[in-house]
Amino acid sequence: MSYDDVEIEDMEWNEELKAYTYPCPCGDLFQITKDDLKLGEEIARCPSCSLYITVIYNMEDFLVQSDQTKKGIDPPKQQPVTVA
Amino acid sequence: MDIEFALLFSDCGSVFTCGDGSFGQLGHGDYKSYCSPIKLSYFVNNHVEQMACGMRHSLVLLKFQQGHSGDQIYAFGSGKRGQLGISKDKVKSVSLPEVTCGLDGINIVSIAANGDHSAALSNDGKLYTWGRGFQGKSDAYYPEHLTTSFCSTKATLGWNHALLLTGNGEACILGGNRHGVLSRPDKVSALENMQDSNDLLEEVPGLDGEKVVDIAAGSEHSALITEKGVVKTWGWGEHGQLGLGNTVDQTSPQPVTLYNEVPTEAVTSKVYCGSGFTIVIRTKDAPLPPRLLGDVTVDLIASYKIKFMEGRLPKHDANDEEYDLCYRCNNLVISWIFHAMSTEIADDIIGSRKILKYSEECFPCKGQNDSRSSNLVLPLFECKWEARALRDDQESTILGSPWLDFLEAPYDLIRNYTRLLRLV
Repeated sequence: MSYDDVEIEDMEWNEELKAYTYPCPCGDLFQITKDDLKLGEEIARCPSCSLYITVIYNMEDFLVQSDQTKKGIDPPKQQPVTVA
Repeated sequence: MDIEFALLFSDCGSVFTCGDGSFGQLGHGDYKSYCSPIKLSYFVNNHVEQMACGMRHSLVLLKFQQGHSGDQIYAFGSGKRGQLGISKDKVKSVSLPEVTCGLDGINIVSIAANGDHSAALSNDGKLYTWGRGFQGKSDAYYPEHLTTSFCSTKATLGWNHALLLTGNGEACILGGNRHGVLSRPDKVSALENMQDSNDLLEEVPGLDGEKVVDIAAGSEHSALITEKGVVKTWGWGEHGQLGLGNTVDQTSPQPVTLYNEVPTEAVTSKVYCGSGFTIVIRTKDAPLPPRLLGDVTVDLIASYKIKFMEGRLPKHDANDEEYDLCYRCNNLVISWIFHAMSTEIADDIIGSRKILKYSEECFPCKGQNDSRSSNLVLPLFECKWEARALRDDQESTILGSPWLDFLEAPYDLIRNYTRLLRLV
């Protein structure tokens, strides 16, 4: 079961992780990439624990940008964040 | 108890903030982040009584002053869920303090914030909450009085629950339907369906009438201390934050075995919870000198956290393998203390006030006129050296943040920490 439902506008873009993030109660961050969002993925996972959230967003907002994105590049893997 | 920013306040009631400011939660009138404490100029003429940090908002309590009708709570940061209590409309965020409405004439003794929740406790034991609704209830844009027969003496907040301590030593939980079942989704939904939405406040289960003297709420777990001094934890356990030697969730309080059981002597215990960790501080009930540093034991319960830190901090030159680990743990702990938790904790652990008082007695030459004494950080820095000079029975060790070295409980603390670390 999803820990919470979070609107995309409440998530923060993290340049280092190249992902939208939202605080996880474990101290790490729930993360979802733009590529995920373009594919219609709505689950943002925390790399440090079992919890995940449901992201509420409009898929079309992200499809517009797809032309500018180069293809063939693997999306960066989720990394745990130093939470101290 | 926030994870990304901190409020500090000095003995003379000035407020300093630092950390993530992207929602205005630092209160400086901008949305910038600061990596060192900056004095909050808004309160420059006021004595700030208390402060609290939520996930993306801050609360500040000013006690009754002439020219005001009563105690006032100021709020700043994100207000999307009503956690600022400043308007009946949705407020995205404010970056300067604004007064929380609806508490006129009420004598506030304490405030609390965590997640998107805010709370205040009045001197007659009434609890007011605002912000995100508990257990799926709608958000409250103004403080709402929780109708209950209980007279509360302490209130702490998690991300989805509140814990209350009553004058009779009972512990109650508000919105505890997911507490301790987070990793068992089937059980969550079953409980949610069962829940009578009118009756959110419940007595903490499984205490069998045992009296409670202290409570603490983490993001998704809780801890309490019983009259007999036993620390009990329950809630989410995935990160070892319950200290029970496993990562299992618990729906009722379970006794924690602490490593350094303090023998026979009278001991005062305090417990604090954060996002996925718990800290217990035990102080021997004896005057501080001459063993300034030996009378505090800190037990940190958070096994899983170390994984974040592996290899992420510069390694120390020492060849000792353990030393490396210690170095990282110590940094981690100190960082948590200062970045993840409230000043109350910092005060208790560092005993800043006690040490300041002690150093005043020992070093009376440090005059009150020193303008720097208005800043908490500088006196601490000076105290470090003084405390170190006082400590003649141990070799000096420099670990962690430079102005916190005087803590010098690090070895005890690290020993506890690494030991607990290995439990899971």
